[in-house]
Amino acid sequence: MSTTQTEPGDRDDRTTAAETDEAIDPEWTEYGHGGRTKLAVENLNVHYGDDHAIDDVSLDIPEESVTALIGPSGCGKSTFLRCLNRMNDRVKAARVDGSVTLDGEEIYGDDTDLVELRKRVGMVFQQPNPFPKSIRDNVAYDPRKHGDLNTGLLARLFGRSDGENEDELVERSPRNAALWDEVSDRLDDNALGLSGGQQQRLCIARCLAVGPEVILMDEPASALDPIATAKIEDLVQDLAEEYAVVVVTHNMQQAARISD
Amino acid sequence: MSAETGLGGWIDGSAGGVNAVAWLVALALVVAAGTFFLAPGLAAYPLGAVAIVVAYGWLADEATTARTLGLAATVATVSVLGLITIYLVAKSLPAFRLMGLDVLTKTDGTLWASSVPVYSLVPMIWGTLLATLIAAAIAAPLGIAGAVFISEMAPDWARSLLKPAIEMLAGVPSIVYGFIGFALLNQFMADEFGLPTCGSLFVVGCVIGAMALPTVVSVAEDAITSVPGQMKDGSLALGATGWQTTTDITVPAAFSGVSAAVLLGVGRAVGETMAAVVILANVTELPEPLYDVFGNTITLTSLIASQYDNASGTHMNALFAAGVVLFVTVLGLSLGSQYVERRMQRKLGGSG
Ligand SMILES: Nc1ncnc2c1ncn2[C@@H]1O[C@H](COP(=O)(O)OP(=O)(O)OP(=O)(O)O)[C@@H](O)[C@H]1O
Ligand SMILES: [Mg+2]
Repeated sequence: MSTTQTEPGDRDDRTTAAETDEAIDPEWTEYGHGGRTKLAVENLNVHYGDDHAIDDVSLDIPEESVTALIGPSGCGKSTFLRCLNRMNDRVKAARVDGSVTLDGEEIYGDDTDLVELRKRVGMVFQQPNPFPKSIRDNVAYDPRKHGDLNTGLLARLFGRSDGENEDELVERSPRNAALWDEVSDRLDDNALGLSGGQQQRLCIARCLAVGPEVILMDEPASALDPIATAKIEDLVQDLAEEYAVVVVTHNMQQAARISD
Repeated sequence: MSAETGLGGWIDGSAGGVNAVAWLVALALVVAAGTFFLAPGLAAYPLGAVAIVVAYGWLADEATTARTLGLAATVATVSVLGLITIYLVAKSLPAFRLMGLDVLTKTDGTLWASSVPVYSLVPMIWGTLLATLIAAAIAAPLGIAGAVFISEMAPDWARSLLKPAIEMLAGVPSIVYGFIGFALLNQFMADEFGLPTCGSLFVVGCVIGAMALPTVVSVAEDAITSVPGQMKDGSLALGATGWQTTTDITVPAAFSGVSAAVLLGVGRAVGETMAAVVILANVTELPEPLYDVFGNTITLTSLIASQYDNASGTHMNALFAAGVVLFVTVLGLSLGSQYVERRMQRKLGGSG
């Protein structure tokens, strides 16, 4: 299982450092990378009540690269990811201080458009969470909502339906997520009928369909067999051609394989 | 496993052999029931015996005793229901024999008079239908909107205030609602719209709708709140707005619960008696024109409640027939809601 690295890899040491440390380690920031900084995290602290989950983390995430986060269970990896697109706003107990900038713009400002931010910074959760809808609707849901696809009643009435684009999208995203062969003949079945691993890939496909600039993946391969895992790893590396990808994983080898 | 399939096997299931405790408890219960019906005065003794046997069984083999008692309770419930149904149908038969299917279909001439005698339930069925539709038209949209607001939009402090307040409303006795409808709403309608008659199906529908509202809000809110947060996160994390998530993910995912809430509310409206009795005058003809919701045509329940007092002979049987119609309607509604729920679950559960 050989994978190509999209950038000269010199940051594997970060992951080793992180393993020994309880929280995400500031040392990680000491690395060199070719790309421009996409997301810059500075002095990020997260508290859940009295529980200090993330302690003063600073980290640059370059564009067109893969950044792997690794660490023991409960050390705050998911929490960190959620900070990057402000999903922690939805967790009542969480208090976030510090600064995260996306392309130089502060995302923890009062006037940040959360919807816009999350369109640009997409997220795949640790637990697969498909919508209780058909597989097709799962993939096309957010693009439809963003107005990238006009398949609503009005659009159809005015003959501006993007049915073809949708079909194309509904094929391309699952294909990229190594899911297409398993679902191509059951696109209209309910997504909850898929296996856990298939659901996980569907959630990845759903995220790809939106076409974000940064993709946050929380253990995208935790429920996958080695073959699907390899496909996802390949996918992650392909994605790095275009996107900034942040991956949480528990697997050192995997981190070494995919990260830059 | 196979030993558990038969009834005997079910009772003996845990021990594996014939279990004396189970039979002893069952026997005591049967003897007690028999004595109660045949010689009520002596029922105290077998009941005492039941208590002793159960106490003994509880100590000797708790699981079996509990199972036997559970079975007995279930059998008793089901047979009571069955007996009520049989009694209801049997008592209504003379009315059907007198009128034939006209009980359900006759629409012209005199429709309801014990002097003729003629008993057509068409006006009451129509009145019930109108009142129910009005109630549903009020309770469903308001209730669902309220539930969505409380569960998805309201800030925490408002939710912790609103939820119990609304649940308390559900506990207000229906006669209170009926009386308010009669004294306030009725008067208001009469004054402001110059209605010729006092009391109307419209007022009844409004009052019943208001009565059903707390149930609808509370049940629908539970359903919406129980949609997993992860599912909503999935939608939000990819840049859907909160409103889009609510309308396209959360509410559809809670659809079976929400529709159950509406059907529960409507079921209550169909069976609601007091408000209709208090508000409606005793009109047993169809409204003219049919859709005139300001008429006083009574409903099935208020028909029974207001006439059983001085009914006898076939008149009484006709009232029982009204009971049968109600029974069948409510049964149909509940079967319908179960069907909807099962279909939704299959759709949501993904096996279909
Ligand atoms: N919603 C929450 N409320 C309170 N505490 C939380 C919450 N979410 C996470 N925590 C706490 O924050 C810490 C970090 O949690 P997090 O989920 O980020 O860990 P993780 O690194 O993703 O672990 P894993 O590898 O098991 O997924 C944990 O100690 C956890 O108890
Ligand atoms: Mg995690």
